[in-house]
Amino acid sequence: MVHALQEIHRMLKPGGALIEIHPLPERPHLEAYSESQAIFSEPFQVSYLEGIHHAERVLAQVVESGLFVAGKHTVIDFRHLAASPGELYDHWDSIEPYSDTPKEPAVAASEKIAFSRLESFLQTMGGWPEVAVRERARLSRYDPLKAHPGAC
Amino acid sequence: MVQQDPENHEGRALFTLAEFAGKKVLEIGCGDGRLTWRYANETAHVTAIDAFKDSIRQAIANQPAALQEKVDFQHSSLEDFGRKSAPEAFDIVMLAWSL
Repeated sequence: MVHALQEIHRMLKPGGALIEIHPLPERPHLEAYSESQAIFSEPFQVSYLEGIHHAERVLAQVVESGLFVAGKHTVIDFRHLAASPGELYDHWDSIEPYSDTPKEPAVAASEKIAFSRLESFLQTMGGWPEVAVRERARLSRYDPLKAHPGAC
Repeated sequence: MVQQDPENHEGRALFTLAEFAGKKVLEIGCGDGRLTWRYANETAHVTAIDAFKDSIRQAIANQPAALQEKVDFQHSSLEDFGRKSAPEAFDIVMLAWSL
């Protein structure tokens, strides 16, 4: 991961910028809405939290080493919005854990339970409002601080 | 079909962090181009790479006609792309959901 950031530094022009985006290391929420208001919102387990902690440590490391200087950052709500729990589950299952690492079986089982709880809740409502996974993400700017090795 | 970030919070936040007008951008982990479409029009050129071949296929299939000249999608890992890239080639590098 440090090597990847060194490579990015090499490809950046002086005065350029790295924009890095990652989900916050916290559980996302499964939500359902009625007239734009959340009527169901529960956090659920995911497998990428340790990976995010590691990525944040690496980013701090390259800042400490003087490769980049941390600039502005912002945190956003990011929703994956679907018409049904089944559609949302298939989507989430295809993208989480945001890497090619296989999902841990215990996490996969826990996810299924969380989506089942959402489905049960919606059945009591007698309809299918919009549903979403809502996570928070950080967007950060890093400026290359010094010339890459070999540059004049 | 699932909508990702229907409010475009991510796209709007991007423009608060950097000036994209006339810039050469490398996007690493572009996936199906979901984020690329939200800023590419402002730039001089975008090279968008992803290690997953299916994602790049989908991005190329989804590419708006107006951005054909502006965005170059490549199936590549960062490691492989870095080997052939010149130093100091980009004004902005985006590492999107892929560190």
